[in-house]
Amino acid sequence: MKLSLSTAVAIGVGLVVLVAWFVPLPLLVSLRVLFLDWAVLLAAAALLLVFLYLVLDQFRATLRRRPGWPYRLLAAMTAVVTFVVLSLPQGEAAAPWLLRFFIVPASATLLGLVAVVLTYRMLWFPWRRGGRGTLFFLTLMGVTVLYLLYAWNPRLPGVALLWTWIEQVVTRAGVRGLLLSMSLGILALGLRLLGGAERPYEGS
Amino acid sequence: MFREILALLWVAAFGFALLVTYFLVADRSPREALRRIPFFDALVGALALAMEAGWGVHQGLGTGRLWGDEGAAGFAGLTALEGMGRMALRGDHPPQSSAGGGLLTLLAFNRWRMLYRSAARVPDVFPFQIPGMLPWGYTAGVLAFAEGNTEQAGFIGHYGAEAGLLTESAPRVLAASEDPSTQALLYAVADHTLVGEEVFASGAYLENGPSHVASLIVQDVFRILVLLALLAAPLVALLGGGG
Repeated sequence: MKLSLSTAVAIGVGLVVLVAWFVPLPLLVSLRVLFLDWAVLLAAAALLLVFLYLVLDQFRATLRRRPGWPYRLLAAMTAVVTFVVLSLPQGEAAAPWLLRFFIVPASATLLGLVAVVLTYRMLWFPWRRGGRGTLFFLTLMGVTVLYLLYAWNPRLPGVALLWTWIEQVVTRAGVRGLLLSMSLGILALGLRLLGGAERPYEGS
Repeated sequence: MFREILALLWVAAFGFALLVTYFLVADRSPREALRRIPFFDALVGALALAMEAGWGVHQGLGTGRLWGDEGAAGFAGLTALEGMGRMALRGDHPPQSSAGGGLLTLLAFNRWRMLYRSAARVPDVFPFQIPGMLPWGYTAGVLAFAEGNTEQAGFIGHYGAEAGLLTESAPRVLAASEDPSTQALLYAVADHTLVGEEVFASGAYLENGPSHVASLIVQDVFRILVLLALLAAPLVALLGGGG
């Protein structure tokens, strides 16, 4: 395995940050904070670069009259105007306004569409997944009806007990199992990156 | 301090096991050790159709950050992109790909640059787009550019509720995220999805490198160890009189 300078730097910095996390010696902790500060700066610079590329790409597509160019032009101009406004000395005051009148309504609209997509995809689920899908669908319907009963009247005999058991035992056990296995997956991935077996920064 | 040292020992033991297993599987063909996962079969199958018949295939990495759980999913997506890109550059139709986060996007660009360089090819344009920088903007962008020219879309990375809409971007959609809520959503709406740690197995299935396969083996062993510890803890407490 060839070790380049960038890989050596990545491994060294990664090891310092990892060890400082577990062994909080003052020197290690100050190095960790320094490295993480640099990482945050680099991440911000990367975001700015990608933003510039995105805007230029949309303008380029508009000039070449690619399909949907009016939308591209609108998106690029909105991005530029937003960037300029928020960069002005008093621009921060506009942020809540932009959030309230543009970003939240747009996101809420798309979230509404997700609800529609989820409903009809769920109805097709038994056909798409066969016998196991039908079983899953029926179980899901049963749990939904149980929750509706619980929400309607929590004092119905047995309903609260069953719902609480499903929510606190079955669901939590499932999620914990998933999280446990994923944490091992993340640990393995992190160690591969730390050991230089994966080098996305130089294209292994 | 005791807990921190214990956690460091756990990580060190995991790393040591990874290293030993790597050298054990390095000289063998590890593909037989892997069970079939329909998600990866479909991913590779679509890529073959893209190369043979010019199928429109799109591979999305999402808009996640590159640290924390999101970062792990982003790196898994990058590994999948590299595996697919390496196969696709043997043909003339590489899959279109997209990402929206800052560092993730730069790394994806870098991957394509290195892939083309290692294939000794010069692209007219990299098969890569930035549909948007935030989750909903990214989703709207993907839906716009994938409309009508994409037969299959694959999404591996960090996704939230917007993944529900992304499944509308192609007739056949494979999607995977590290978020348990999104995994539940995708199980219902996507044609194929990955559950639990399968998200991080993309390297083993698409790249088939010894380090990826060693990771899967060590994960399985440590999962059994954790399971035994979980079973032993209440027994010890019971036999020790509680506490």
